[in-house]
Amino acid sequence: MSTGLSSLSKLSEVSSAYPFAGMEYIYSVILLAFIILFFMWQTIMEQRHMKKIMGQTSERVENPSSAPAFSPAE
Amino acid sequence: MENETTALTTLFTEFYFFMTVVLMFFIHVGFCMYEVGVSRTKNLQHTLLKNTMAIPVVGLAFLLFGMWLYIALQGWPVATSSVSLETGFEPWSKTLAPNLSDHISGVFWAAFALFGMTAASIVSGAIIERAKTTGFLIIAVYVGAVAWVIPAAWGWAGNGWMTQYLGFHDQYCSAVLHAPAGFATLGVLMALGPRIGKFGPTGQPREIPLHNPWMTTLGIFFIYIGFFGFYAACHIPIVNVAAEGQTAFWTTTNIYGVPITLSGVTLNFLFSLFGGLITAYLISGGNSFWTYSGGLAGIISASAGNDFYHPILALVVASAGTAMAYTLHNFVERRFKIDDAVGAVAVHGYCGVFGGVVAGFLLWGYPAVMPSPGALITLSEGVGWFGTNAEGLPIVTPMGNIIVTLVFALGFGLIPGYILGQILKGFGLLRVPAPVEVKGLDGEIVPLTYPAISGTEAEFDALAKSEAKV
Repeated sequence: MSTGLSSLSKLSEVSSAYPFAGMEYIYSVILLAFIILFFMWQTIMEQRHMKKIMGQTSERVENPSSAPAFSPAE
Repeated sequence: MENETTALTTLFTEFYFFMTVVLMFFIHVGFCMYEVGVSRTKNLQHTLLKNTMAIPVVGLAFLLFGMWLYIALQGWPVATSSVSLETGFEPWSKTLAPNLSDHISGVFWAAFALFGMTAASIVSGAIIERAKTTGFLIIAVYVGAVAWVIPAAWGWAGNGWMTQYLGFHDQYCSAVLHAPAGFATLGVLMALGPRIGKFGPTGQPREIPLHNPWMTTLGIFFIYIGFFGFYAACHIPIVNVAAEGQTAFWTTTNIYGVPITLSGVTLNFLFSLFGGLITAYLISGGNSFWTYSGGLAGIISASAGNDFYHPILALVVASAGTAMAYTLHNFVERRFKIDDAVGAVAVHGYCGVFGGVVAGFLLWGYPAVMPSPGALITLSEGVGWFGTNAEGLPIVTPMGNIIVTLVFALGFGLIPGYILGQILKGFGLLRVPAPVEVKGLDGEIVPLTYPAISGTEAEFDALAKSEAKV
């Protein structure tokens, strides 16, 4: 069975009501891995997206972020 | 539950926080609509998804460590030198999942997580149309799950050491959330740079046309609605604040355990909204973008003390804060070429600091905290460095609120925001290449955003007609 809760006859003694109670550390590792996987995937996906757009355009424009951004205006 | 009173208060509190979470979600509906409305058609889908993805990413980070930071660091490092790993809000905690012995932890976590997502969204709008999603999401994790959370632990909790030792008061998070998020945005913008074409050859700022002003209008209205939930979530909705052995005194309290009325707070919310709207409308000469932003600026300016202000005082504070934010935004934009696409630094950063500082003066002398067993607030030793009342409770002072507000805005906002921005820039994760910015961040799917306008729909219809031989 997935859960230690198989009876509702003594409700005052029931606490955790979810399956695989006691495996919370494993759940936490899954959460951490999920986040790391997301960021890796997102980074690769965005790089491909940018390259694809770059391949569609031949416009040459200087990126303002290469110059100091926090400089007083004239 | 052992008796009817416990059951009633527990189940009411559970439902109360649940409803605040639902209401606060409208903030994200609003932010998405607002940002999409402000961005140009070629960037719409990127803008929308960048903001939307902050919701799950900050939520996951909040379960991983955000909420634990809030609970574990409240006394550290002044009231206590230890940091607990058994707060009940670690990701492996048994109380955050379905648990019949705990009705509150989950909804409490959710309300805080929504605060965090809101904080992250503040950054999102300012950097649209040239920021990479990956870089933004890393910033979102910092702003949403750290930058405001540690300030909240220290100064937005009855047991927080800044609350007790410095008498800091900021009931609806002007300085605790809006100031760090707004100033972190400024730091990121300094590293990011303006959009191509935003400033002319002599440095004069140009108006980049909104793609859909009506969408920005609706977006801001949704944010107003969400802020009702935000305010409500800052309360302990029903608690007995009497000391042990005394006659019970059931009330709503602020986050510091001090009795308040939801009735008074509702008026203050509305009057600060009124003050912001009217002032922004007048000072901007009827500019719709600033009028709607002004409503939000007014609320944030008065939020630090909106649990105790008179409604007309809330109106005055909101008006002053909005005028200051509008003026300062235009000055910073012209002088330093900061391209804040949605005025987030002004509305959240400047107004957040303004609200925190002003509350220190206007609430000077109020007890900063009220310990009680019901609110789970206990007084540490040696509290009230800037003064105590006759009962030995720390009091709110200008000094306490000024120091703490500046620490939050600069120490958790501007400086880390700038450093993080520079690090991401160094790794090439902050800004899209210039040709991509010019072409549009949506790339080949730009025509799919409005198929009826781009001709994509007509092309398909023509194809369908030819196949149907009509």
